[in-house]
Amino acid sequence: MNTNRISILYILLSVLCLTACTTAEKKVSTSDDPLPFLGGKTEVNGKMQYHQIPSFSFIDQYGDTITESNFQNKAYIVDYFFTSCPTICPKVKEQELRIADHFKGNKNLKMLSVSIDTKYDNVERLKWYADKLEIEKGNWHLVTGEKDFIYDVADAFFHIALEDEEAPGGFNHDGRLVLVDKNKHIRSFCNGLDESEVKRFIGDIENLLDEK
Amino acid sequence: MKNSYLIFISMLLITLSCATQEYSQGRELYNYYCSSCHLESGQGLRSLYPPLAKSDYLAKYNETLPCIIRKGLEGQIIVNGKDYDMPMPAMPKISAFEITNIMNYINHNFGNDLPFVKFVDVKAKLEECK
Repeated sequence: MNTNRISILYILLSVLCLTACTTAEKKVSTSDDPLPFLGGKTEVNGKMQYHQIPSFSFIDQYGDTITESNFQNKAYIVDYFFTSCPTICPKVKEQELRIADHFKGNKNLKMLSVSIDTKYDNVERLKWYADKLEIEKGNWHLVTGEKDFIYDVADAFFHIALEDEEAPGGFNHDGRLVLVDKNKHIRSFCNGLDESEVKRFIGDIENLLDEK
Repeated sequence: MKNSYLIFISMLLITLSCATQEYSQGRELYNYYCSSCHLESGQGLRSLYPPLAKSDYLAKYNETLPCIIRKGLEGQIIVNGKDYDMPMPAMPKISAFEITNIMNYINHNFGNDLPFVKFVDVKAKLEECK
């Protein structure tokens, strides 16, 4: 009788432990619907083609050249920023760090932060900024490059970049986070200043990474 | 008679609801001027922006804080054992009244229990700033 009781207690305890573990690793995603393809579509040789990110070439915080080949078979998140940004960037970076923590160790997701301050944000400065944010080497590239190219390609990345003397810090940009899939299609985005939108975005990333 | 009773109750309720929103003016001003970098809960951002929450630097330099807020800060500082060197921009137009409100909000939130500051003292301090 007594051992029966003890074994029941053990079973109850293990069930409790198990549920505790599963809640801790619980997914954020609440929907299994496939993510849409964003940015419109055009007809190419009689086939409908969704918007795709064009070829690009940047230089990251380690001085390495970063092109689309660095993102082969990977999903990635793109944001536009600059290191001396006094307004929205710290908040967006805080949310990106939250995303990076959530997907820590996942080799199928990378991050690309493009600086729009090509004068001041050189490789050395980007390395300093990455170190200050305690970003580990590997999955997160903070990049600079040719000014005209960065401003022109912004549109394809669903971003806005403008030099503006009257804007705080001298630049106008947005705090958007954009999700690109392994086939260069944009699949989701969110306002990187809005914690609840970022939560939904994390769910979208989970769904994308689950896609075959 | 019944009306005045109602007015009394509503006034009491308004006073109570205000009392639970401690330093709400300071909070509004903090969110406008400071939270971009120090973030909404005063936690700062990694090694880039120092925390205000339970910050030893904030406690130690509380008296010179009016000058720091108005004139900004440059150079390396150590907060809770960590180095920070991102410059803090000056805010030449911020008033003594706004600084008082912000300081009282910061000093009594984010887990801080620092002195209450008075407008006259903040104003006097601002005249001494270099």
